[in-house]
Amino acid sequence: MIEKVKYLRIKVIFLFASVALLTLSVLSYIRITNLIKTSELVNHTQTVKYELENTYSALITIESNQRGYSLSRDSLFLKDFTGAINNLDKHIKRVDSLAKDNPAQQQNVNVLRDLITKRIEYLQSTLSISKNSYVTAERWAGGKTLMNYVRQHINKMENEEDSLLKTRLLIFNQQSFLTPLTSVLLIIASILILVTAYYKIMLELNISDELKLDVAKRNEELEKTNKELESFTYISSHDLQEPLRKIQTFAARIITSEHGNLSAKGEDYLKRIQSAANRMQILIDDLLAYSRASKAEQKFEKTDLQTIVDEVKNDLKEILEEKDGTIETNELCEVRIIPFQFQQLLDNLISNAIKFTKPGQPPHITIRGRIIKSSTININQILPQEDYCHISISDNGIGFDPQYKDRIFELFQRLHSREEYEGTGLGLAIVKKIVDNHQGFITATSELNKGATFDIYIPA
Amino acid sequence: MHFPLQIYTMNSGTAKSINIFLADDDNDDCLFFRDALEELAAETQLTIANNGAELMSLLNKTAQLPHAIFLDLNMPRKNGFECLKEIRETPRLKDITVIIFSTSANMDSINKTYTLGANYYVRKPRTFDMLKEVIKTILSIDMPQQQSKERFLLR
Repeated sequence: MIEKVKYLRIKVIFLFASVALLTLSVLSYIRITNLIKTSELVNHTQTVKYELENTYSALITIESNQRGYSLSRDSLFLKDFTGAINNLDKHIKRVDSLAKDNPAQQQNVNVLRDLITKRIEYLQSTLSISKNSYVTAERWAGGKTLMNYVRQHINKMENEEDSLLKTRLLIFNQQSFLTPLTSVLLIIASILILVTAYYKIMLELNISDELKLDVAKRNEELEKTNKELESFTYISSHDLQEPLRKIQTFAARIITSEHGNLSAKGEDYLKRIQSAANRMQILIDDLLAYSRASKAEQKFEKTDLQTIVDEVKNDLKEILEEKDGTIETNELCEVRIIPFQFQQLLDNLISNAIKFTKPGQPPHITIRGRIIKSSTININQILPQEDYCHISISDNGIGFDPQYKDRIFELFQRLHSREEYEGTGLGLAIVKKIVDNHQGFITATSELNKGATFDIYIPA
Repeated sequence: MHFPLQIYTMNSGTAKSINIFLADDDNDDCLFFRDALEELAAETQLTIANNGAELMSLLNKTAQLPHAIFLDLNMPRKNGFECLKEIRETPRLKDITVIIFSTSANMDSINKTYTLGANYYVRKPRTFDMLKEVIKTILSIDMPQQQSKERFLLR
């Protein structure tokens, strides 16, 4: 859980840093593109103005040739007149193509072309006049006026181009002004995010290290307490056995060797002492078994359940014969278990089945064990494994009320008085503990007088 | 009742009798053991030491080594494990049959004494009849080699 949160935080931090850096690169790209565009625009304006001036000077060349001819009638001035006209045409066409991106300038180009055409027509008619007579002052003035129109229009176009450049430059400069500032801010922000991210990560790592250390320390303490408690239970149970064994033996000794000297009452009392001592013996044995079942450091071994069942059968041979009981096994599998604990488990369950029989009906116990998929287990628990060994132990005994199906596994829980059935209330608690040690689950199903079934699921 | 270094001769106490040592700090258990031997009516001579240190000094002094030592584990001053180790490491004593005689039968103690070279491990019986049975069994075995692990523990 802690790990998950830690990784989520680190992810968020890096997401922020990445987004900031991405924005920064996009903005830088836009800024550079804008700079290129601006220089292209300046270039464009310069080129338009250059071509306009070229057009004008081409027109002036033609005009001065005309003037030279009109004044001298020397055909030398008209030698390349057509070439000059073509040259003028070429420049107008260039201006025209340069102004294509701008409808207003396009119109201006058309007006310029008209003005120039008028000027050339006027100039040509002046030329034809000057072949036969002198050119009047009036005509000279008319030419000059037309020329002035052309000049004014070119100036207008140049001004327009300049103001256009100004507006465009202003827009781009604004953008250019914005981007460097944003870039700097973003760089600062990115550095800040990265530095924060660094410290955050270091902090998270430190925190999780501290937590891990904390958990490890607490685990160690718990383990120590557990061990102390275990050894306490074990030793106290063990030491309790010593005096008990003495009581049992001395009682037996008196009954045997002092038989003739005892009154019937005295013998009865002694037998009661024996019986009480025996009960205590069983309780201590069960407590020891429970404490042994609590020790987790046992070795798991791949074991055939049949061998365990056989051993338990052998241990319980006498009582089975006495009660005429039968144990039926079919399809038992191999499973990874702590053998001696599992023997204890089966011993307890089978002993219960033999103990809780219906009067006059010999016990019949069925044991089955097979590997199943966890998906087929109907249990309200998380099953981390895929394969489980399902062991079921069924009997034909007195069963129990289903409402007690969980309580029977608790420590010292008994459903019957001692007069009905002997017991310490530890047997099924030991079974549960052993199943827990195997990371397994156990359920009990029964109805009164209809036998009981214990289902055990152990990771296979 | 106390049993300080006592030697009990059961029956005739001839040279042919079996010489047994018992090391146990528990007086009741010593009493039970003596009574059991007595009732078994075996030709035995029993020597009782009340702790491990006593047993070792007894063994080192005696001219006639016992046939078998019944050794309790939990004893003051020198426990059963230490005695067993010392016996197996002393050339003069190492071949004596040693039977561990303890209240507990936990796997740790069983494994440890088996490794140290004890011949048998007997859990102190709960009844007097069982005690007699166990002693009878031990005395009837005349090949005192260490048993296989499966037969080491006498139930």
